[in-house]
Amino acid sequence: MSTQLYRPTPRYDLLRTPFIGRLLRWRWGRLVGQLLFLCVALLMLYDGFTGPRLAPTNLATVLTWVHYRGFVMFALLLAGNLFCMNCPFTLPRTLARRISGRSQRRWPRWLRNKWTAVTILVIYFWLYEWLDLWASPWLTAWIIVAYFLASFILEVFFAESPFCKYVCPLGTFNFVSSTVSPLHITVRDQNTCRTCVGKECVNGNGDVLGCGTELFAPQMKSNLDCVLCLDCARACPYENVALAWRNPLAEVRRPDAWPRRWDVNVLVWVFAFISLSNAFGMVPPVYQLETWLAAVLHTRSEGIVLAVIFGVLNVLLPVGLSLGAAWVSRRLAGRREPLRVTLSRYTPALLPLTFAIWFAHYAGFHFLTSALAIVPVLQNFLLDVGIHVFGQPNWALGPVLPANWMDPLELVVLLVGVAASLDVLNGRSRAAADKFAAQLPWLLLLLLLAVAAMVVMYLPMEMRGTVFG
Amino acid sequence: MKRIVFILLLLLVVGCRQSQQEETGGTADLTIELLAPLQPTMDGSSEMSVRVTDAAGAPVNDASLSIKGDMTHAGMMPVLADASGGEDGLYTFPFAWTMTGDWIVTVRATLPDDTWAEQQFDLTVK
Repeated sequence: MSTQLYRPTPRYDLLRTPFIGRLLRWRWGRLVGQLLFLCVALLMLYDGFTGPRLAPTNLATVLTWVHYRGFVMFALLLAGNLFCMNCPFTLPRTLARRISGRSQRRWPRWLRNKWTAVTILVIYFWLYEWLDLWASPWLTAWIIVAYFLASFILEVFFAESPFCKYVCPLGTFNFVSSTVSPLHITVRDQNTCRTCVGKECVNGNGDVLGCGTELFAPQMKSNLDCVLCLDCARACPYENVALAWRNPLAEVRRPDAWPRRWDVNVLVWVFAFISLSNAFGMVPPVYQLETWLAAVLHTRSEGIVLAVIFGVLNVLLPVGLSLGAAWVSRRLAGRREPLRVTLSRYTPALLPLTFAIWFAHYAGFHFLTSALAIVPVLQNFLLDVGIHVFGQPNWALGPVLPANWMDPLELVVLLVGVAASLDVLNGRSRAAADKFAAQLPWLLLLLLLAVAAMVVMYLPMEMRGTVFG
Repeated sequence: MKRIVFILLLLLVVGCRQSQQEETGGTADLTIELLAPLQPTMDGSSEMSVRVTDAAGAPVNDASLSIKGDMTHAGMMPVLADASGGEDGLYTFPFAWTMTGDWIVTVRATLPDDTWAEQQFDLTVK
């Protein structure tokens, strides 16, 4: 007996649009974008290793910490996981995959979850604060090298693109955020998939590799783990795969979209609290906290002090508060179920607000106040390599919008995020026929997060790295 | 073979780079000193004073100064200023900090014969 759910044919399929659709479905369509991004990455490596050491004047730092983050946030908001689609780090990975053929091992079973991704995400943001990555073109360039190497090495030895699916912090960021993106992979006709023998979308055919992260298109309910490579669409002999538009909240509203696993839930909570702590790292109170903590711990090691601060903010608080909220919610609902199930029911409600916090910070504050800074940085780069036709850099270029627009804009973004999260929370509660009281702990947490985000965004920004010299 | 060609091309490109930006540099033998503010604050003076002297220690009054204050974070708007007409080698000009934290101030002094000297100063604005 089939348990297949009825799924209507997607109304708006980007793969069926006249020009973009053809380009996306073209066998080398992804390669074009990847090569473009590869050129940018090589330029960043070159300038990062050989160029100015001042971060605001170097392509590696400006493109990474301003433009990449801005591009990713706008892409996720308006379309989907476009960075992973065009990821240059997977170019050598594809080569590695072809070299190793089918002789690759499976990624160890005990690592086939999001715990590694959570750990790496936490370590990555701690290193970001400790090593002042935003201020070092050289370290930024080494991070790019590390991405290329890690992707290549893991792909040589293991199947299922473990770098993308289980390791890459950029991928993790994009996977989680893309669950509130408007584009998703689905199929046009479930019956076609039911009678399909080859399952080329996941197994590949002679010309095109199947899904790198081994997702099966007709069963996909979530953008989690989808790098949007579109290999499934290219491999499908029936042209049955669609890149469809949806309501951005459709996935987080859907009760069965995510697996009810501890690792997935913890990832989302940690991701949410990092969105706050990452912004908190740029405002004066963090320096007072660092100074106080250094005195209490009798240490001058910034690494230790930051590990304590961000260990609490990024691990202890999200884990503790989410478990506490789940426990109270379960009691108020009068349910007898595993805590994991209660947590899974309400965790997706956190995503819209979390995305709004990231968006306000990266796209709102950093990108919109600095996007045009790329012009003088590029001019400076060209001058340095002996190309004078573009003139002297105009360092006054930077903001796209007036600075005094930023606070109201960020407030609007955060309010939209809060409203969307409350809507999802209420929808999920009603779908589960929970009492209203069961929503209260989550409501409280959402409002606390929103207020904390607003306070942090409204505090004056401070350049980091001053406490320990 | 292709790899060797690629590496050679890469080395060639890297070799073409004229220079990295140094903390000091230029074609004129000048000394640029930052006199104030040495411990800047957001609510303190919004002026900056710089002294320019030549190799013999004599004050230089006919230099054109361009000043650029950069924050350490990529993409942050720099603070720009210009100054000319020093008195006893001293140039004082308006310079408003926009944020607390670490700053790198680059002062370039250009002489009438277009030779120049540059000096960077690391400052922490409280």
